[in-house]
Amino acid sequence: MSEIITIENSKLKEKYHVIKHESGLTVYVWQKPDYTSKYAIFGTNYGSIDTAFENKDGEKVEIPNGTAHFLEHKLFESEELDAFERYAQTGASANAYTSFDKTCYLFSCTDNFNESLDILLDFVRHPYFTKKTVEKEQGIIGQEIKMYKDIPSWEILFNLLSAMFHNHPVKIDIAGTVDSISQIDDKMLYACYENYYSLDNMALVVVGDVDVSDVMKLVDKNIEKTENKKFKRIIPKEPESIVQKYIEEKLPVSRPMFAMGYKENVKPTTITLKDEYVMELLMDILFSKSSDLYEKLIENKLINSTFSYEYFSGFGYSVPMLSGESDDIEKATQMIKSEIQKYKENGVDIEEFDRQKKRLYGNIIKGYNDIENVANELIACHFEDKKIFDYPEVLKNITPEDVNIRLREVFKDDKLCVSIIKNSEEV
Amino acid sequence: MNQIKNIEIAKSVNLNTYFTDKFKTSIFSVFIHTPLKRETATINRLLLKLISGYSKKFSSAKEIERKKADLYGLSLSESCLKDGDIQILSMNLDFISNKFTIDDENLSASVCDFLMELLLNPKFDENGYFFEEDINREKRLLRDELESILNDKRKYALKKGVSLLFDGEAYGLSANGYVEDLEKITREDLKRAYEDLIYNSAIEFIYVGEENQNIEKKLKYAFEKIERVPEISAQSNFFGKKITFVSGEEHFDLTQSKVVMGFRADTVFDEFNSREYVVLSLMNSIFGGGTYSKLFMNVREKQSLCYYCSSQLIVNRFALIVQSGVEDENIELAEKSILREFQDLSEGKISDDELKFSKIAFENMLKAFYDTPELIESLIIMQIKNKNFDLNDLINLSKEITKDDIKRAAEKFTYSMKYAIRPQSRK
Repeated sequence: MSEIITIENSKLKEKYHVIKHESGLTVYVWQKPDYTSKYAIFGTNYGSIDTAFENKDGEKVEIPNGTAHFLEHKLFESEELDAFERYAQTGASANAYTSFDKTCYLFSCTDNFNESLDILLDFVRHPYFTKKTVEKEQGIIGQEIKMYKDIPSWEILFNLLSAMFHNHPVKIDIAGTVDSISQIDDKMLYACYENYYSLDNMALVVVGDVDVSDVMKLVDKNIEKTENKKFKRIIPKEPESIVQKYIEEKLPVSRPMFAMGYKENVKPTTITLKDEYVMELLMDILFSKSSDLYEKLIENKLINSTFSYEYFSGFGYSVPMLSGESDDIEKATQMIKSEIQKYKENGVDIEEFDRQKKRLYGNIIKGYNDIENVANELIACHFEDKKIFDYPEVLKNITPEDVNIRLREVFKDDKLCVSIIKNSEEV
Repeated sequence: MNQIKNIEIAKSVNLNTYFTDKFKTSIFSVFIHTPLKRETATINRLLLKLISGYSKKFSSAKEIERKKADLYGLSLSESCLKDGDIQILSMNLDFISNKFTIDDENLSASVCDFLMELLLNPKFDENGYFFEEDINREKRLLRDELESILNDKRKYALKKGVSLLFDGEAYGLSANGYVEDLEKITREDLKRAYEDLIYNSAIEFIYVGEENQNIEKKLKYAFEKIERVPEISAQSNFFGKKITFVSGEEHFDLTQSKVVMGFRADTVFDEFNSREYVVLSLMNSIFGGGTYSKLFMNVREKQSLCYYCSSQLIVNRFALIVQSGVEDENIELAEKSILREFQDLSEGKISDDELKFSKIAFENMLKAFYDTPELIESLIIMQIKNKNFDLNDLINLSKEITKDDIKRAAEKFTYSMKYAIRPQSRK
């Protein structure tokens, strides 16, 4: 009988159960009795940054770029009905995604939850790849890659990453290239599946008005104990320096776009919750719409409503980044740099620090509202060894000094890269 | 059982509430209805920016942003939508429940006051006009926003296709206005538009979340001194018309073509006819609404023609829009393929499974309507338009619908529009 641990938070009036199944799979069940929708997500800690693994003989096997994503598409197929056809019978709305560091298969439904969970567990555990089905998918994914090539905000990000990282695979497009996916075959897919879809590398999260024993019965039915691999993520060593300061591309855009990022020195591991919140808080203070910098940039007509910022981080990478449209990118980036310099010299304003902390706290609370968001957070927490109920407390303990230290450590000119998209349609 | 309550605040100003403790957040929105006209569309869009971004009490945009942060990260989104012949100006506020504030603050009361301040106390000068510097600032930002739709070619194609399909009718107009109108908008135009909104337009407030009995009092107090002379709500100027085929295309420096196809019926949709709504929804679902649909299964999966190929229904205009991303050399093939699927639909070539799956998915979707504040809000909006709108009715009606019903609905539609965004021709 699997052991059930219950994690509770009385302030939020929420709790969830964690069950370590005998197969090695970790299962999370978060009961939401007031909700009609149920949501399940079954994921593996394998994403586009995983470009090599060690086989049984200890040899390193390189994987073509885009394999994790390709595998995600193919897993839906089987010798009989594919997963979408099966879900059509139960009425579940299903999807999947591959990100930099994980691949997740999910569905939401109001009725027939057990039947839909049965389908999810079954099709993810039973891969079926053939030469014919691989070739067909190369056509569809080729289309997907081309679709993304036409999206300037996607291109600008990957250009920035290629200017920043020498070796870290985060700079590789998640879907790969038309050329790299042409190198994928059924044998490679089976090898990746065997290596990365090992149960101790996976997790199942279920949120909604569900029964723990029903869930575990279906896990028992579909998940057999297999040899667990003690998964090890292999990331090539990455120097601290950037590759180049500047990169440019031309696409049909309405006005020039820029993205700027600072490369932080980090270990090849995930960022801690505290480090994540310190940076988010710092960026809110520096760049949010209530900041002096934002006001200055707008007054000087250097940015518009597209201006945004994000803390882009994951396994072995940490990049605070800003982006937007500007008619004078040079002036905009200069103003941003000099404002950052001012903050480094004077420290952050305490009133603004408290205000942004309050705002971030509000956003954390909002995150617990939504079944889909909670499920995706839970699975991310599992893979990153974080606890979802720690969020408010971790934020509470952050001090202005934490933020000032991080500011001085990370926002340095020699770690800055700028990526630009100019209009290709201009004469 | 929680109830949706409708309360009259003033002439044609209503408050609709749904109190529940289920969520950690509440939402409070205002929807202002005004006829969608070429002469006023852009003025109204600009007006909404000025109302939502400034007010007398908070003299600058930065102060408004700081206030929102202080309200635990209140998020405010503003948008202009179109529904039939109406332009709807909306502000939507999303905030955490009082119980999550420090010291149990009455946050929902503060948020209500904040919305009243924005709506009824705009940042006017002593003569009752918006300030020129604020107008100019927002004109620039709106101009950039309208021009940036070009960056999302998929959205751009959709917008062009829809405006072509409905050319000459109100629905063919852009709810967000036109760049070419911006320069000539005067402060007098904006003052007139503001007065029109506050004194003449139909206004609906919707509140979903933590109980707050004071909202009604606050709204009544706020509107007490406003002498409302509401106009008769805009009548549709569409009484059915002869459908002719229109098409267009544009070329850009692109990798993948984006195609939009439109189907129309020369008939008027009766908003009170729930059965018709259900038939049309199921028809759309079978045609291209999900992963079990004809378009997904046959055009995408079986032929690998496109990465995305789906349909959406503009129900109160009796129109169907198909969007697809396809290799340029396959454009004609994709079009033929999509038309073949539609022909099958209008000849009643619908399998038992296709009908069954669309009903299951429809039912699943309807049952989820109480699971987020936003979904409840959209339910309230549907009930405002049609008091008889009832989810259980729709579920029961769905069970009765036959293949013949779907066939007869599809027969009413004619292929009426094609718009393509294509790569530059090769020399």
